[in-house]
Amino acid sequence: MSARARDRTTLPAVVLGAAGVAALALLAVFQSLPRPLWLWGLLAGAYAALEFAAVEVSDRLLISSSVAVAFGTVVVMGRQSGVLAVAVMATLAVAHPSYFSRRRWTLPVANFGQLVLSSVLGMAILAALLPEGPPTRGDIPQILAATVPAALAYDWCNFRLVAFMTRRLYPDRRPQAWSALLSSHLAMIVLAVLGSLCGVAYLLGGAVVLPLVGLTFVAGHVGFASYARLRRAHLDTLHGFVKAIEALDPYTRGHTDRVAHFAAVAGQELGLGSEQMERLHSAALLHDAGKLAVPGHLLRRAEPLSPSEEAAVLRHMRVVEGLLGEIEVLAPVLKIIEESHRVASGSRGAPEARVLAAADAFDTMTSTRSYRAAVTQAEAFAQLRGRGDVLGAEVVEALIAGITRRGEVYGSPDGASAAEVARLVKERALRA
Amino acid sequence: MALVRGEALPTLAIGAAFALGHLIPLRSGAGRLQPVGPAVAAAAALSHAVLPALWGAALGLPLGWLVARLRFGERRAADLLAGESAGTAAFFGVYSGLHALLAQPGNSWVHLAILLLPTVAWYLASAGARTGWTETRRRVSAGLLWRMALREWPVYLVLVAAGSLYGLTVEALGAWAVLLAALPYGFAYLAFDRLATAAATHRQTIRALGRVPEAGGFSLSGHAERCADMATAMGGELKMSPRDTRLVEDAAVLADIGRVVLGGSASGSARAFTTGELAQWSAAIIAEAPTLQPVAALVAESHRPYRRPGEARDPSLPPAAQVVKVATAYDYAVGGGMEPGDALEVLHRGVAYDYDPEILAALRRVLQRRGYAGV
Repeated sequence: MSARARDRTTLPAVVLGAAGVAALALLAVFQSLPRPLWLWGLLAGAYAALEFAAVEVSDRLLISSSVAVAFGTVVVMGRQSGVLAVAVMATLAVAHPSYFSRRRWTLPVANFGQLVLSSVLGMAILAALLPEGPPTRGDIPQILAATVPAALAYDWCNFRLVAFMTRRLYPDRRPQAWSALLSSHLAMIVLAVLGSLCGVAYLLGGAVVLPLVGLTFVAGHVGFASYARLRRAHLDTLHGFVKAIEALDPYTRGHTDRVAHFAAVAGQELGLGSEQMERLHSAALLHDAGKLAVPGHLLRRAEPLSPSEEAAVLRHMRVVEGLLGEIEVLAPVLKIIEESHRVASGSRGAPEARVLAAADAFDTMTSTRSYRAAVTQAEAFAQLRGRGDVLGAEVVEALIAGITRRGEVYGSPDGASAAEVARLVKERALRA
Repeated sequence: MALVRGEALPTLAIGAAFALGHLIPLRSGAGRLQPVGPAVAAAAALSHAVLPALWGAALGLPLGWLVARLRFGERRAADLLAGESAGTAAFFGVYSGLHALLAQPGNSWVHLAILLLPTVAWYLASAGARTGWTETRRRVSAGLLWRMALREWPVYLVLVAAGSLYGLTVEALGAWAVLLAALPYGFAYLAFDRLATAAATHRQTIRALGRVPEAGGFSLSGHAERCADMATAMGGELKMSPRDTRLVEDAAVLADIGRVVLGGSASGSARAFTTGELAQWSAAIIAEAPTLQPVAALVAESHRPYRRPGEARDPSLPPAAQVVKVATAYDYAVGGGMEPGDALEVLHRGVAYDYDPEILAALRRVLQRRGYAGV
């Protein structure tokens, strides 16, 4: 973490941490110790394990099945000790080994405050709405009905605090709005309902419920973890192949990664949603995949291609894109790529397509190729603005604003260098 | 074996659950479907007497086959029926025996422990039946299918856990036991389904990339698919594990990817290149994908001969690399117009030098299994 980031986050982390401690102290006064202790220990272990195995949904918002354990704990421990039981569990759950090995304290303190405060709010609502005395079968509808507002409160508080810290840590990023994360809210409520139901089942049916639910959940977690790995592997595989072919030509080495970066910069400035950004990223990585089957001597030709050679290049690219089109999950990504190719000929296309076209154009202008030299960044910006009617003025301005705000500079450093490189490229073309 | 009064409704409910369970099967990582039969069997065994469960299963299985037929088609439905019939019979056979032995099982934990053996019986019987059923139609050895089927034990575990959850809590929770069992099952179902889809997508991706040299005209049309099919079949004959067979399959698909570099070089036209150069370039390209490092290593070795004249065999040469070498060479021979028997003979001229005799023997067995004349 940089010194500036540390300055921005220290005070909020301390405030959150202090609020968490105050909440715990208050609970210690008004609630009793959870009993039986061995059961609380087991549930605390499960809570911590599931919290460590959380999945990042978007903008560093984590979702884990630990919320099910939390709600189940309140039902089992009851009104007198349930909230304290969960608040202490939340305290333990921030003790991730990586924080100790890296000696970072700001994040764990902030996480402690965030988890404890969210838990206290949500579990207090649930505890208040629970029926008096040990639950019976007839109390199940009341308990489940109480779980829904409690889960929403927990989720909302958690979201607000995480978004607050994210804005301090990463001022460049724009966290998603609460309303844009409906599926994660629904998942939270479902997990909370399951937890409450498991709590009732434990009280009425015995401890045999716990390993059965645990086994199914572990299997599901392992399945999701494998799914996430395979998803990344899939994109890495495609990206790897494109990079490998690209690396054979010194002029295009790194082009794909730069286009992906420029597309992300412009997409963030435009406020594109997380799904759009994901599709845009995939499209940027794959936008030149069609060149995989094009003979290298055509791609690296210093002189312009003849019409028949151009037609051959296009034919090869279409065939490869057709092959990739057989991969169902890539269909929306390939659509963006296809539209971005057509943007150059005047077709408007979806925002992602115009962003991709702009990013590709910017990198092409600011990189030296076999047939021409890189221009300065100012010249590239001017050329992009000249194409605003095709690419979309808002897309062009977003790309320019994003690069400028980050203080990044691309292309030739000045006009004299650009002219010299242009002379060298021309000489090479003549020699070839 | 007759039902008593009052058991008709539970029997029908169990039968309906067996049948409708074919609509929401769990998918294994390999994409195989497993209906919720084990879950229904576990739930029924724990919450009812054995007879209604047996009759319910007998009623539900043929109905389930009809449901599966409408949902997944005839071939898959037959596969499911084979597995479910054998599994159900094994489950209730073992469970009835244990139930008779133990008379009045004690608490819930004992009930659960008793379910272990019948679950294992279902798992083994179903895997065996589906292997036998599939082997007659597919062109790979039963051994490979059996080893692949055995890897699906997490699916059975999840199903029996969900069914047991219902069976052990229905008395205390009533209808809410359905929700209690359905929610964690739904979580696992989503996870397994997404995993199977991601695995299928990854396979599609590798296949698509393997066909890129063909798209550029640098390789025979259909070469990658045929090599993959042959390599998988040979892996089965050589009793390779499912993981190793998958590696060999991927290596066979991608072995020619280097042709996109060598097929059109900077000089303006394709130049002659050695198999070693092709293997080197293909391995270098494949190695750029982090998860395909083992595949890259295999492809890098695939050009090496089994043994050079005057030298002993190199023990470090992986057999899997030889499988890729033989599959590729065979396909180029057949693709060049040779009959399978002639192609095999040409490869045999290089036996014990270019090609491992064991690998060639595996190729012969595959061709014999597929009924090629002259082999």
